[in-house]
Amino acid sequence: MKKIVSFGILTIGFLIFLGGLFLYGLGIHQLLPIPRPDLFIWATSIAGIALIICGVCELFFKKTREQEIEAKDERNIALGNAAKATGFEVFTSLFSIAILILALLGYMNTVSFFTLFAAFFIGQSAFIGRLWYLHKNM
Amino acid sequence: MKNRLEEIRKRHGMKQEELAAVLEVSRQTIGSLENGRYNPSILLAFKIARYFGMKIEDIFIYEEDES
Repeated sequence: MKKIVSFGILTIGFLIFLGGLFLYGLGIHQLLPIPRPDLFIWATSIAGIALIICGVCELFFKKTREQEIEAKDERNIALGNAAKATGFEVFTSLFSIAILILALLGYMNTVSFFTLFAAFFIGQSAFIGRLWYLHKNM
Repeated sequence: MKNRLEEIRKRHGMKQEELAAVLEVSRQTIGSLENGRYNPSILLAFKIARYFGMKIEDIFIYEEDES
């Protein structure tokens, strides 16, 4: 399963990288409704290369036995999950406060406010959904 | 939870690294288990007991009031 995901990431990386070069070569990027079409090639190249590197590392660089043990160690997993939970709580509080302050001070327009609010809402929905699923099945 | 893991491990002449490798956990996990800072999952407790040929309750000591 993990190999399929890694292969998918590698493929998407190649598509983004080559697709960006192709569209840039044809000049189609100028027609895209983005504020900075000149940065289009940089964005697609960097994103594509980053995904390719991720995919290659997952597929072709084998972990040593010690690295695999460290990754699957139950204590390390428990510590990581506890740290992620704390980070999530801190991030949720700070993010909502930050959005509110920026909106009240006028540093946000409607689009950015609702985009960030949507991102926050999706994150919270993912948390509640996962919690419900775990309660139901465990 | 208290345990006799360190005593049992030393009786078998094993280092923490060796026991960790056999159980496929990190050395830090063995260290945390021995000094009581970390309680193992039931799976790991079974693996430890089976490795030493003992019962779980002979290795891990459950006390009613741990607070």
